[in-house]
Amino acid sequence: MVAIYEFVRGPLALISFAVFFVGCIYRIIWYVKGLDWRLDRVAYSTQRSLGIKGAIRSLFHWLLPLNRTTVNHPIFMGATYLFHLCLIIAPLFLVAHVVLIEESWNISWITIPDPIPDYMAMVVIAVGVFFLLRRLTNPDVKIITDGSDYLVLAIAVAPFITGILAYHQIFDNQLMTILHILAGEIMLIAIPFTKLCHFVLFFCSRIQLGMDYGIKRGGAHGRGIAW
Amino acid sequence: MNNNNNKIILCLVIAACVAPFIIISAAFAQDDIQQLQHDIFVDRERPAAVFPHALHADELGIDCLECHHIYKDGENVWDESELSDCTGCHSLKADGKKMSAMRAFHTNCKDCHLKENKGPVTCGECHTKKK
Amino acid sequence: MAEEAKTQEEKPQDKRPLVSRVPVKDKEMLDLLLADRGVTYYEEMKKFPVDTEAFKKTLDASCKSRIRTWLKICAHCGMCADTCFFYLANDRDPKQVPSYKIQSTLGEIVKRNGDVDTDFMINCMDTAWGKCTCCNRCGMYCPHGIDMGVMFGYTRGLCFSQGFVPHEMKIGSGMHWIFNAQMDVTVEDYVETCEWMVEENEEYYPGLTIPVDKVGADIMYVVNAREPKHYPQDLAVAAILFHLAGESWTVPSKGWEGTSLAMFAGDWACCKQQVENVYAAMERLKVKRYVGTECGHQHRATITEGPYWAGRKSGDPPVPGLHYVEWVLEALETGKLKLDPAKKIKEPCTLQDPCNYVRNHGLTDVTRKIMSYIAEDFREMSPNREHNFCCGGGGGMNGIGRYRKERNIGLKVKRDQILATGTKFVVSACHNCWDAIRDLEEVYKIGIKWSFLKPILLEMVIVPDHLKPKEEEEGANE
Ligand code: HEM
Ligand code: SF4
Ligand code: SF4
Ligand code: SF4
Repeated sequence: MVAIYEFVRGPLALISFAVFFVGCIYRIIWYVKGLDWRLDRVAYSTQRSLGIKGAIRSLFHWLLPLNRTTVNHPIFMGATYLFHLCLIIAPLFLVAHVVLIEESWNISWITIPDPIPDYMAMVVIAVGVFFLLRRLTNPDVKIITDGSDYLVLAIAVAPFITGILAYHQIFDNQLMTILHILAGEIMLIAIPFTKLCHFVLFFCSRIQLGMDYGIKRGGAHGRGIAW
Repeated sequence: MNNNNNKIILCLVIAACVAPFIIISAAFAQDDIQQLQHDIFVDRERPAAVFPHALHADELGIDCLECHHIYKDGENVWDESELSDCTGCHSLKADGKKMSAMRAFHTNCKDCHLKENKGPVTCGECHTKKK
Repeated sequence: MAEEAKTQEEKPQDKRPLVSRVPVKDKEMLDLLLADRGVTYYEEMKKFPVDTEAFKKTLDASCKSRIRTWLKICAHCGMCADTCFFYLANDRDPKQVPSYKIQSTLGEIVKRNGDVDTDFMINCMDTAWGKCTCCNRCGMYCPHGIDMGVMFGYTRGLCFSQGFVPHEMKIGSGMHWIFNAQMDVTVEDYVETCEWMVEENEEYYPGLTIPVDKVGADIMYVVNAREPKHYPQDLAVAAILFHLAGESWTVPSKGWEGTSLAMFAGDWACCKQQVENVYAAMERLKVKRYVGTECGHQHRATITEGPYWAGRKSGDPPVPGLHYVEWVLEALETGKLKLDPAKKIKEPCTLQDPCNYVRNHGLTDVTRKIMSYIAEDFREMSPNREHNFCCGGGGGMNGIGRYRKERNIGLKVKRDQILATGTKFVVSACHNCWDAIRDLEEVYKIGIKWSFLKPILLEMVIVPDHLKPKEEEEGANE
């Protein structure tokens, strides 16, 4: 088992980070190269300043809960903002993660005290359960749900479930820690290949639509439209 | 009624007499180190790491120099008369060639455990919650 | 495929198939289709094969990262459901959730890389035209910024290229190929109508002209073919208002029509040739600005999307393009047009925001400012401006017989919006919306009136003394 630990902690970690970073960068390049001012009917390059304004506007209104969808669906949107906030902050600033990364690659950054990511992980799991129940019960969501949605949700939540079990030393700690690391690595590797690629493509899509509205659909008129 | 009260008082008196002995013996038992309790770790994120010194030094007979060290010209010149307080040299932050205390412990313990394929390696195995 | 089309054309005319992958470019075919009224057309379609090889090629060439990303990252969260008026009008039918509509059509096409069959394509057609008006409302509410309206526009193009297009849309694009207009109105017909309208009205407005092909005018006015064909009075009123405002203006002969049913049909090649006619007129006549009539999709086709079809890298038409409401507001604000405040509309009235120039061109406040000049008791619909619901008849929906039932159900949302304002009068500066509201009244009989801006303005405008007819002037002096 120690050998498995060594493998997931060492080479597999390196591989999954590499796949994650290369994959994400590839996705961005693929996206930008696939933009076509004639097919998309947006003058990306000739109306750059309107485009940038529109893009910033779009990101601002959607990275923050300043949009009509949040007003119309406060519970779901509140849950999803919380879910994503916790999902990103907790692993990124967890002491244990930063320590391991420092020991491997000699880079480190600020951390937050353990109880905070602990609660955050619980939030991720709770909202994950809420997403799951919603998928199973809401007819509008059910009709558009396919197997990949469950898979992706499982991939996203698994590191948090195992993380909590490992942190609170429930069940065999070595096994739990290995599973936790593995779950995290599966998530990293899955990001470029599944629809978790929205991790980067969300930004691409929002920027594109922002530019579309900024350049073509009225960005030059009146107060402009926010997305 | 009186009888009962007396019994309680008697119990308290005995307890008061015995307590100091328990506390003192526990303090002397520090000799057999069970945990890496260093005062420099003021804000601990995790419980102090388990470290049964006797298990390593006596039962397994690991050479002291595997852990204790003072380097002079690349050679470990530590002997039992020298300073044994790790955090006397290793402070919270790395200092020149000297690793930070946490890093020193992690490297010292985990590398050996991995190499020997023995002993705990994951966070929770050393930093166990008080049971 | 091109060869196949040729052999099709060489067959004796009574055998010419009505369904084909090529646009209608000859009068004979157009007449055949018109005479058929859709009956044989849809029967033929049930047996019309999908050219999967060509489909793959089309997808490779046109389905790029933007659309593929939208299809891929859709979180299937359902936030778009209640943004679509069809979903609301159909009692929250999950089959009307925009994400479902696009995933089950374009999503499948992309997944199967064009390997789909006839029944599948007919379902695509019925979804792209019968369950979506390309109003783009859903796209404003999706957290990922996924615009189903844009994707259905694209899907329509795919359907068109495979021959699966509603009867009236096939005819519509055919009209544009043959007449450069959405209806069978020739340049001669148009110019004659202009002359006729001047004759009819110059008695009351001395000096009234409709200058055709005047080089160097400030404004080139471009209309919707329905106006010369069915409502020539609209053209007359436009002329009168320009005349009273003292504008230097002209109408082009060739390039007089600004709408584009080809856009609704998804016939992109036709869109290009249609809009290039208008741009050629702008350049030929060296005008300073373009003003289009009170039509939503004309503005979308000629000013918003047109530059891209015409390959204009700037994304702008050759000269600045104004919607009629922009010109009206400018004329009111600069005092070129003066309205009699006593004649303001007294009864409560409301305003329809057309998606095509509000949500899709940002003209959110122009019409409201105009309302402040013409109405005493203006009440907003809710939601309004860029959040307004489609009238229910957009994207060609009004004109397609096959989806009349679906259209009428869809109208319920607009009906309830209007009823909620408590007004009985709807101002609508868009042909499509105007039609939809007219039909809404016909179907649901809620007792409303509706109007374009031009007739309202004509009622209220103050005719400057020097433009009044002689007799009247004398009469006034006595
Ligand atoms: C900054 C990065 C990210 C942004 C801006 C973002 C944004 C979004 C948005 C807009 C949605 C759709 C709305 C919703 O369903 O909640 C969504 C859904 C989702 N995201 Fe992210 N996301 C990001 C990163 C991630 C990451 C790193 C993961 C996990 C690895 C993740 C997992 C999910 C999941 C599982 C859903 C679907 C929720 C459901 O089942 O309804 N996201 N995200
Ligand atoms: S709101 Fe956007 S992400 Fe959510 S289901 Fe609709 S299209 Fe997909
Ligand atoms: S574009 Fe409009 S009609 Fe089409 S799906 Fe979206 S909201 Fe519905
Ligand atoms: S008809 Fe009017 S409301 Fe409907 S889509 Fe067109 S512009 Fe929008």
